[in-house]
Amino acid sequence: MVEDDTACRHALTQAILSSGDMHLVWQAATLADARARIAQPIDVLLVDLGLPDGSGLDLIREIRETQPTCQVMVSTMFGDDANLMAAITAGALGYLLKDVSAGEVIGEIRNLHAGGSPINPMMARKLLQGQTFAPTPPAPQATEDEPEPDGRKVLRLSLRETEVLQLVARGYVLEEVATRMGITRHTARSFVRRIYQKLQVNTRVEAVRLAIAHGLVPKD
Amino acid sequence: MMQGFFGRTRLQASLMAWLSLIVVAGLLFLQDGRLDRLALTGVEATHLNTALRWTSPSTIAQPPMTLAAADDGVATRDRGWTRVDLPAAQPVRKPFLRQYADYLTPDGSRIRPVQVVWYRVDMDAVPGGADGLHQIYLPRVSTAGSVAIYLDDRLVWQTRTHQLYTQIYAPVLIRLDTQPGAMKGSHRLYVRFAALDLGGHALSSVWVSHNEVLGRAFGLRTILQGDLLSFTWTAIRAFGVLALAIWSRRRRAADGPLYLNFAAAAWLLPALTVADNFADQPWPGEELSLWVLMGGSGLLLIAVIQFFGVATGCRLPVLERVARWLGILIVVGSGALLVYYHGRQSPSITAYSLIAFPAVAGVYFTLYTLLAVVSFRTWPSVTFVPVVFLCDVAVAHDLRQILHIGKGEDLFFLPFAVAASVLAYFLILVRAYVGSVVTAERASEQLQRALTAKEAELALSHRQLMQAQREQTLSEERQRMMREMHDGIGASLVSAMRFLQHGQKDQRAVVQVLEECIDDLKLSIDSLEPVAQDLLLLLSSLRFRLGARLQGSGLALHWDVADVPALPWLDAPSGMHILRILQEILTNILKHSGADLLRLSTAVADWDGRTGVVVGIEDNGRPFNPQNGPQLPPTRKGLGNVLSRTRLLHGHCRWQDLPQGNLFTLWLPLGPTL
Repeated sequence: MVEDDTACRHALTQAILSSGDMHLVWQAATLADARARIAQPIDVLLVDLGLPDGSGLDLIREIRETQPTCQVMVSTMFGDDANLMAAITAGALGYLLKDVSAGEVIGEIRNLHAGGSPINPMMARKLLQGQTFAPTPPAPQATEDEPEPDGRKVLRLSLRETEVLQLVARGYVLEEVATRMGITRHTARSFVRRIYQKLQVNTRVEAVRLAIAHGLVPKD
Repeated sequence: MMQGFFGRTRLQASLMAWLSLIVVAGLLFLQDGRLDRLALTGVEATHLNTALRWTSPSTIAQPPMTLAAADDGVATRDRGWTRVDLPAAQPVRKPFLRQYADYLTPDGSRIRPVQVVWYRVDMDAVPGGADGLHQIYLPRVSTAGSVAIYLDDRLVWQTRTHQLYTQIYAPVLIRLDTQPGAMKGSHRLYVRFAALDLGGHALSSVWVSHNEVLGRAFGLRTILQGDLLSFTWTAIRAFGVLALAIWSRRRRAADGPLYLNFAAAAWLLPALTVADNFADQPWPGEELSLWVLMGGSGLLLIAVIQFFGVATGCRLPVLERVARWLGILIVVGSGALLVYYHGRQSPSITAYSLIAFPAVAGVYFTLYTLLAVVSFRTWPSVTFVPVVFLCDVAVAHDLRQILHIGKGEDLFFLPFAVAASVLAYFLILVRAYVGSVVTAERASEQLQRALTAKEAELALSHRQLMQAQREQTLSEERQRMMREMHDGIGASLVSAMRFLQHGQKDQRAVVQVLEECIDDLKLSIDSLEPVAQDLLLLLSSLRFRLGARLQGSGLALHWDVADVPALPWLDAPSGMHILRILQEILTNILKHSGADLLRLSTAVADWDGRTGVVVGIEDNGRPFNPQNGPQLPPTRKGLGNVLSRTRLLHGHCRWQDLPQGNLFTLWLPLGPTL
């Protein structure tokens, strides 16, 4: 866990310790601190983006390279900032609102580890604005990122994935989305995770470029 | 440079004056045969200045084929010859015109016979050269009739026709093509004039030579009297085409008439000389050529006066109109006269009118010009004075030549006067053209400068506008944030502080207040997101923020939104209003209604005939209707906010009692708010 706010860090630590089946491997308050411990194998990294000595984005990229199996969760105050989308593009698979209760923290971490990812209407909207539909039938395997004729990569979503995003953007929560689509909540969450994975690319340059192309970070 | 030269009309006026003076001086200098004397200086040629004249009793216009065949026996006649100096002339005598008219009666019989006059030039052996006489040159033989020249017995030259009213003024060059040595010794040259006895004639001096040198003088005279004029006409005609092309593009422009006028004059004036070539052709050849000569002067009068007016800006409207009628009268009158007298064989009228019509036109133009110059006294009009003066001098001089008054070896002045006039025309035309080009260039330069200035001005005001706009946006945003801080977060924080200050140990209440505070903050932040006119996105963010709290309070939420059209006016501030209204309603239900079921729906609906969108919030709690005045608790400031924010959105809101609970409806217009 990387978190510079002491109260927050304390609350999160308490929540994790109280879970019983989770183990806090290490915690850090600064980017330098976190880098020193990054080699230790972990399952989940909970990271704040705005650190006193740098951006959590760099840490996400580093851990994606050193520990590809580690799942990254971004800790955010309101879950709406553009940095959150940049973090997902860089490799994060979920986010955690800082004001949620201890029980919800545990629930979200479990969900993430079980293969699900949270999403909010604003993110759904942004993803819908930046995507084009795959011309082929909506087989999930056939919707890889492909370069456009002009060399620009676009997010290609299947029809089901698009449907999930559209319902989320209209205010439905994932349970309702699942009910409406006739799938389980877990499946709905895994759809979201797949969308996140499509957003993720290997190099930093591409990440930034793609994020710009999707309107996730301002051009300047 | 062109502009500097032609732009100053004063320079142009003095240029024309000098040019006219030079032309007149040059012509006067070259008169009386000096041209030939200069051309033949230093060559082996003999100039013969005396001759014998005899008036023959013969009445036959047609010259005999040989001297021996003459009906008057001139070859053998020794007596009756009178000695005369060359050049010699017999002027037209006053009764000539009447006599000319009486030459043929209507039935064709002759009343007055033709008078034949012989000149004999006795030539000694030509000095120098072994082959004797080779070339004879006469600068001018001139009469209205026929001329024939004999050397010894042989006819060596004659005019083209023998009609008695055909004027000829030609220089003559005779080249003797004979056996070597055949022309040694002395010879006799005879010149035969056959014309009406009062018509007059002129014979120049005679040049003879044993070689080909006389061609030099002949060539010079031909150039100055014929070819030079042809060249001028050709150039003028070419410029006429150019002027016509310019006119076709500048018909409406102020200088437009100048170009048309020049084009017309350029083709009309040469026509006068061309028409002369048909003078000896049968009907209507001669009449046509005469008509062109007479009627042309009428057209010319109209053209020249108009040109003068447009070019100089000096216009006398009444006299201009008179000129127009006079010109038309000359054209029509001369034509009618020729047609009328054609069958009557009485060309005296035409003989008079041949002089009279152009004279009237010329005199009128002269008077008009002088009057205009005196009235306006501007430099452009002064430009015309030397030209008019030159033309008048030329007409007077040439008329003397035509009437054989004085000795006839002068060059004709009129062709030079015409060329000078055309040059004046041309100068003015060029000035007008260059002037308009320069004006256009200046105008475009000025326009460019004005444009640059305007652009700078525009850029400045644009910057100022942007600045003002930025300031206004900032100020509006500041006001909005202040209001949110004040009404929402600020109020919540203050009540949280009061709870703690008053030592209330109800931690739950403090946490609840702080939760509300965070919710307010989140909604404020969400309202800054671009919602792009999408009401559903706005509602979904509301649910995202408040959903967990509703759920935590045991309130089941039915989300039942239908797609609604985009609201063009929905921006961040109005989005904030909607969020606050709905937040207030939801908080109210949460706190006071005791409901456990909540349904939020959207639909398209009309209100008072206007299309709009409604957001409905239905609960199953205690009946509550703030519209029933007395039930409204005085402390419920939030509901007042709902009403005022709804008014700001130009929407309507309504509380309805349901059998089981309440329904709150917020209606928002679809079109742009006023």
